This record gives sequence, C-alpha cells and structure tokens, in this order.
Amino acid sequence: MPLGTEERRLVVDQALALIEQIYVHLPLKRAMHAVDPIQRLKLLRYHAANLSESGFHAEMVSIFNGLRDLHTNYILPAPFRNSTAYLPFRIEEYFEGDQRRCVVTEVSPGWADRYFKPGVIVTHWNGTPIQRAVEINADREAGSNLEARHARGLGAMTIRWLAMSLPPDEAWVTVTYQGDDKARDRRFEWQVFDSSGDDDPLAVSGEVALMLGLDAKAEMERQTRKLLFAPEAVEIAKQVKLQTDSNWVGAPTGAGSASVDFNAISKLPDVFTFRPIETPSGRFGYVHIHTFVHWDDAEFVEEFVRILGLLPQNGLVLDVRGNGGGNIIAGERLLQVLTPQKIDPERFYFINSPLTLKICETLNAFESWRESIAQAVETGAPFSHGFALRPLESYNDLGQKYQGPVVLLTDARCYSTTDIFCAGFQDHEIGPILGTSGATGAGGANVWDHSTLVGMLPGAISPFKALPNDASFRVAVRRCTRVGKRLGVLVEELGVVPDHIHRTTRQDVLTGNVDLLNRAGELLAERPVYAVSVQVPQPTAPHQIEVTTKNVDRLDIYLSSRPHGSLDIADGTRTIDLSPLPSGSNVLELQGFREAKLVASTRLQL
Amino acid sequence: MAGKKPTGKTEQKEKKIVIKVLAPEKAPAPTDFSLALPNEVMFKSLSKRAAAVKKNIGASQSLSDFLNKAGWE
Repeated sequence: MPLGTEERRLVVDQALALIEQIYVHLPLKRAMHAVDPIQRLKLLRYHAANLSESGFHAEMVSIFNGLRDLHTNYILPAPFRNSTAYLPFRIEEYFEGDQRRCVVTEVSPGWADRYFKPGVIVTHWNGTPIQRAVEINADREAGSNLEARHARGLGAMTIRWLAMSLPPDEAWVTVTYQGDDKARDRRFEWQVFDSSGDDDPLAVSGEVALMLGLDAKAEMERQTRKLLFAPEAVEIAKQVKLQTDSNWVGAPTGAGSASVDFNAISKLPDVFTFRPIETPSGRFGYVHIHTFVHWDDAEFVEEFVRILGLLPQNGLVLDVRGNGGGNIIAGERLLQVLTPQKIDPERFYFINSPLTLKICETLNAFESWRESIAQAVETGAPFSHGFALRPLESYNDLGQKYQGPVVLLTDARCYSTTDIFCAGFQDHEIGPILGTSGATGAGGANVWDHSTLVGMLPGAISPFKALPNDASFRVAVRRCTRVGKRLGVLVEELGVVPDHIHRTTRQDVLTGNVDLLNRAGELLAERPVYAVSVQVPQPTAPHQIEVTTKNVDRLDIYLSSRPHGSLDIADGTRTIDLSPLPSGSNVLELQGFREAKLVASTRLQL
Repeated sequence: MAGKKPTGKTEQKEKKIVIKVLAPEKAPAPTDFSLALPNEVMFKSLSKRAAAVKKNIGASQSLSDFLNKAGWE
C-alpha cells in the first residue's frame, strides 16, 4: 500500500529525529563527504505531497546512501521490506595482471546451459561495458571507501534486498559473455521472492539488539546466495538442527535421520565451516567465519573453540571475507582464544545530545556514559567518554585455546563487528592479515533499530513513534575506536589495512581460493609454533602436573591469578609439583615466554 | 556386438544408503558454503538440486509483476 502524504511526513520526521539527535557519525560524514542530510530531509518533507511513491522512496534511499554508512539506513515499507530481487547467477572479479575480469562463478541449478556456465567472462551488461556497469551500481551503494562500494556494487548486480535497495530500473538484463568460441548474449529476467523468515537480521530484540554491529543488507545477500547456490548448506543446517534441537517447533516431517559428523561439520553450520588444508608450505587448519549473526555469544565462542581442537595445531588460516558482522560481543570475545595477551576491547562513544543524555539517564545499561554526556554542557565535548560494551573480564574469561600461528584473511566486504574483530586481531598483534582488498569495509559503530528506540523511552519524552507499513530505520549510535598502537583511531571510514595484499586470481574464484590459501600457508610457515600444554596424570593428586612445552624458555605459573613460580625450561615434558595447593578449587594458568616475550598460555581448572 | 543378453527377468537392485562423511581433503572445491557432507544429503542429480533450490526460495514472481502490485510508479 503506497504511503499517504502524512505518512511520508512522519517517516521524514523520524529520520530527522534520528540524524539530528542520535546519529553518532554526523560530524564525520559532513566532513568526509560534504553531505547535508538534514537539509535534504527538510526539503523532502516540504515536497512530500508532490512526489510519486517511487520518487519519495528513491530520495529517502539516496539521502541515507549519501552518508556512506552501511549501518544507517532507511528501510522501505512492506512489501519491499520483505522482498529480494535476484538473477540466478553470481559474478565475481579477479585480476589478470592489472586488468580486472568479471567472471560467472555460480549458476543456480537448472539455469546453466552449455554456453552460460561458471568460468565464462562477462564483458557487457545491457550493452554497457561491465566495469562501467559495476561503477554505476557502486555509486548507488553506501560503502565508506571506494573498494567497499565497488564490492557492494558488484554484489548488487545480481541480488538486491528491496528493504534497503531501490528495485532495478530494468525488468531484465542482457548479459554479454565470452563463451568457448565466441561472444554470446543471454537474457535473464529479474525475479522477486519473499525473503522474510527466521534469518531476518532485522528481527532481533532484547539485550543483544543493543550490541549489534551489522551490515544487514550484506547478511541478507549472503542468505540469498545460500538459497540460490548451496542447497546442500540449507539441508545440512536442517539436519544439524534436527540433531541438536529436540524442541524444534515446525521441524519438517520426513526430514530423515542422517547422522551429522560434528568432527567435520559445525554445530552452527551457517556460521562456521572448517577443514584441514594442504598447501605447498604445509598442512594447516582453515576456518571460515561467515557471519557474526548468532545471538548467544557464549555458544558462538564455545563452538569456535571446539572446532579449533579438531584442526592441525601448527597453524590456522582464519577467513572472515564476506562477513558483514553481527553480534559485537561474540566478535570481541573470540579474540582471547587466539593469543596469550590480555584482550583490551574497543571503546564505544555516544554523540553528546539531550536525547542521548535522556537515554543514559533513563536506562541503567548506559550508566557508564551518563556522567560525561551530562558534563558536555560545561566541557563542550562533542562525544562522551568511551567504554567497552561489557565488563573487561568477559573478554578474557577463557584464555588462549589455540597456540599455533594464525593468519587472518580479509576483504572490503568485512564490515562492522568483523571490522572490530580484524582491528582487535591487528591491535593485539595476533598474526598477519592477508587481504584481497586494500582495507576492510570500515564500519565502526554499534547500530540500533528504530523499533528499539521507540520502546526505549517513555512516550512523553521520546521523539520516536511507530512507522507505517513496517517502514523503519537503522542508525549508528555508538562509534568505536581502536586500542594498542592505534589507540583512539576510528574504525569508521578507515577500516583495517591488511599487512599483505593478495590479488584474487582466476584460480581463486573458480577453484576454492587455491592461490590465496597457498599464500596464507607461506605466511604461516614463516612463524614459529609455540606450545604449552598441561595434564594432571592423577586427578586425586592435582598438585602434580605434567607440562609439555615447545619453543618456550621460561614458564610462569599462576594459581587463581596469584603468582606461584617461574622456571627456566627447555623443550619437552616435565613434572611440576605445585604443593602446597591452596584449598578449594584453583585455576591454574601457565604462561610461556620466549626471550622475555609472552608467546603461549594455557589454563586448567584443578 | 559386445554386451549382455537380456535375461528376460526384472533384476531388483538392492538399494544401499551409505552414510559416510567425505574426508575433508576430498570435499568439493570450497565455495562460500562448502561443507563436507554425509552422502545421504548430497543431491545426486541436477534436477534434484534444482528442485531443492526452488523449494528453498519458494514462489518467485517477475519484478514487473511485483512492482505493479506494490503500486511503484
């Protein structure tokens, strides 16, 4: 149902309230992109009655895209909110020397023919040279940096979530491609399906709704690609759920009883895939974290730790390419298992305004920020002080679980929680970052949904009202800064620059990233493997422990956080007597050093 | 011409479902979602894969029809 004039004005008024009173990046975006969203919204409100339905929504989308912020979006009303337009194939890019090539990498089952199939090079799109067509599309996308916009422009050539993207202008696309023998054309009509359902990234509530860092559009596109190109992944997710969730309401009947081997498949199959990989430099572990969209952070981290235990311990390739973010807590809590260092989480800041002060004064969850926002009337500070989202202990409650070297794979589609994870990986010097783009997507904020804001303050003091026809907004409300050597540096607009760049090859996009993984293997092989492990041979005598070490010359021993001893050691296994043990339960922590540098640690409950 | 003579009998082939996990090293070349899967859940024919995709996506309509119904001018 099209919006009436008053409904359009309500939508614009709510956008103004968000942008003027709570949008944390407004000063940055004005400076960085010379935009004036407030004046554009006021003009839109003035002309609201005179625009067509498409004209109104197009202008709203354009205003929000101009912010270059994938966190801050206008969400079109129904039926657009629940619909995705698609073409039944996927195109990706690789480099031949300095030349970009656009190649078909996937075709939905039933759509390939003897000529149009994975591996063909796309040259034109509706008669426009393909790189120009991608650039035009990229201009319509909101990514912070050029590479992020380009990556999103490429993705949007074939999948558009209509909640946040305008529908394609064309009803069909004519793709010109280089077949085996000559240039050919094929026409595809855009199709639209109902994409609402259990995996809706906008459907989140409760405490976790306040902890999101997510590019919702990228997440929906990822889900759509799974439906179109990976029916096996959809099926295995059902099998896993049947095996792990005995209370699954709505389980499909006759779903079969295949037994899933969790030594090869994750219990969170939409989140993690993993396997050992063989490279010319050796055999290593490989984990792809596809998304941080999992609302139980403890379960998320626990599954990651379980998977790490199944893989080779001499090196790990950790892949977060294409990960649009999710639960910030899950992302930050994951870092501790990869390093012996204490994790210092990022700090988050509100913009100082009467509204953010009201929110912090009303809700205890934001008590930490209250004082500095209140002081701003005297100090003139534009932003509050920065605080971690959770108490600092929760980012270090597990300790290191994987002691081998780690290489992180990134690209320009990494966003938000993934940006924060990559920044934490780099700031804590966990390992090298190998990127297929010059930087990650650069989304450094915590995002709230408009409906969350509507319910946050009592009606009398809240500027937020329910919107018609399921229209909505998302807005970045707390921005984050980095730690360590880059203390205070913004993630927004800057992203994480990798230590090494790999230009994607044809082999990469068509045969499982072979060249990229081989390069990652080279980086792993350059790094030493440290190990500190402990066993208690006799549980009735926990004061006697057996410690095995490798590449460690000093061992520090802690019992329940208190220093117990320090030894100079060589590689091998030895028995250590911890007598007398303090009474009660004790947490043993062993820290291994090499040339005075902490290189590995392990914990054990005695 | 070489080949078996038809026996005139209908031969019943015993159907075995072998459930085993592909060794990770032998898994298909990875895509975004590649997994080592029990053989039972792999779609053994293109038409079965296509049917699964159609079921997962649900009903689709053309963009033109969708926009007409939505009142998009």
